[in-house]
Amino acid sequence: MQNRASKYALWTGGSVACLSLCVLLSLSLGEMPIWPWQWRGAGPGSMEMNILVQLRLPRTLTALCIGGMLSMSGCILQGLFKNPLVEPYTLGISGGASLGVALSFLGGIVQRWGSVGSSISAFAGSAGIGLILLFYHRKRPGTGNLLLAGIMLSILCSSVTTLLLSISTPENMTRVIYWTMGSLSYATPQQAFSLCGFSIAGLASGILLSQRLNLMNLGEQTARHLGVNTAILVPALLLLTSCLTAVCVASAGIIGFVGLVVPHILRSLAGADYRLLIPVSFIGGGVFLVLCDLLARSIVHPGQLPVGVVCGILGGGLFVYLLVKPQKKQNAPA
Amino acid sequence: MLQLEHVSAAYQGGFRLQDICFETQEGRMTGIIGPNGSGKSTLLKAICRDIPAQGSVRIQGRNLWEMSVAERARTVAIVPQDIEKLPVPVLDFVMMGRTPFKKWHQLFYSDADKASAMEKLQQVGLSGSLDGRDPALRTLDQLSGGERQLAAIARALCQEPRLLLLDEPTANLDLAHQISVLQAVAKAASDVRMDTLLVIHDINLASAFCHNLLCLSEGKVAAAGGTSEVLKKDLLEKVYGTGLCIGRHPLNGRSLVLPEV
Repeated sequence: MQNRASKYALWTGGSVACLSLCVLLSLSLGEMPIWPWQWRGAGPGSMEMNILVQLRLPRTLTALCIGGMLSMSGCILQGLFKNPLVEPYTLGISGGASLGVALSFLGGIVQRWGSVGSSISAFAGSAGIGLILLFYHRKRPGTGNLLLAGIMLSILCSSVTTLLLSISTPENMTRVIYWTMGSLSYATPQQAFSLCGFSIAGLASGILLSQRLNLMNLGEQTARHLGVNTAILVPALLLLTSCLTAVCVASAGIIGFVGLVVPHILRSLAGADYRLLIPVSFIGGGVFLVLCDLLARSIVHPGQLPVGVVCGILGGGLFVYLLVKPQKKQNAPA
Repeated sequence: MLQLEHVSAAYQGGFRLQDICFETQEGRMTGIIGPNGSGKSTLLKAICRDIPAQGSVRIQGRNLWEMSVAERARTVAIVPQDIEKLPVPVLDFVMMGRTPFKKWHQLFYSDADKASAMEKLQQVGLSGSLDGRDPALRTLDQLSGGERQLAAIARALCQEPRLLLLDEPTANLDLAHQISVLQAVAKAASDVRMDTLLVIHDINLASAFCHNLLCLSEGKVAAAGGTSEVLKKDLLEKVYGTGLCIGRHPLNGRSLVLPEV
């Protein structure tokens, strides 16, 4: 028990230190480097302070929260489905968001409401898919059925989006495709603070459910025999991950691979105890996306790359490395 | 005491169990025997409500199916046939049996839970066979099949159930492990006066360890009662569809069933 406590302390402390370093780097680096020792000299209303408070801080917080929520959702879904290849987008959540955005461009909602319109449409699309999955789970319980339904919905949404794009104007098509690449360029202080609220609530819920998720590792039926009410737990986890993913997609478009690669790597390093893995995945996802965003806005000058593209390339590379590398044995305390 | 009243259960539309009426005696071990497909494991699934079932299952007069999931887990524990080779420390695996006693927001098991798990590991004789290694460090995937079964039995005992269900716990085990697993179950059952329902293919082991037998055939009760009442040549030959000889154990006089060939 003492070993476990020191392991938890070491992992949590180490990952928080790593996150702090990445946040400092993200705040400091850019076209105009502003190092921490220069912050005290930058008075209120100065250009440095405006860049820090109005641009870099919201963007860094947004990256941290979105990376954290996507990674934590991936971690929960991989545990729920006992499948390391599941991520938030496997269940069609991102497909629903893309469909929502494509519909909003075709229906003129974005032209009238701007980015708020696309965010609402993306959230509605994601939440709609989440609700369909919840309804389906009530009709046909079982995580296997649910995963299959999610994959089918994802394919369906993707096909309908392609159909809509093929009949839309070239301008709309370009804008929808650019949205699907994911970007943190439009982060605002208000958005960053509301994302912080969602993250704290999501992380607290994830940690509270983590011990039950450990039991799901033995199989849904065994978990039920041990007193876990899977009829409530499975929809609760699905609702939590759907809501968090919908918030992320609505805020920054589709940012793939964070929810797949980060929990996968951390599980092989820290073990499959979800009481540790959930908070560490959140922090790890935040670190990964903050670093990807830093790269996205540093590689090309002037301008920047879509962060989703950087995540895909970096995450894909890491994933291929993991597949090639010999497997290390996991230790999964309950 | 377990009472099954007109229990019928279906697997995807087709009824596999029909009108099972049966009751156990308190603190006794009851073996469920019968040919493949006769509904032995299905009966355990029906009792646990893992499959749709009709009728009623009562324990100490209370309807099991009307209990909450946690209360049901405190009343009935099941040891499945196959225990997955998970990289979970043995102690943690056994402590999971304390889950029905925890509040939903409790993330960690208490020292009392750990003490209970250690006690159950000792009770099934597993703590001594871990090569002196701490069960908190040795993982389930490092154990033999028999040791995993014992760990699963220890976990089930941690649930402090009134009824223990075992689904072919000796399948795929060698003779020594078969006997050690069944001895552990028999000892635990008599220590706490717990009803035990055991699905078993080996009729001679059932005869050696069970007080009563329930013989199923094509989803119906073919016979039920004491071992010597059920292990009759005519009945078994009819149920299994093969020629058999019934003898006596030279030391304890229990029935022995041997093939005629």
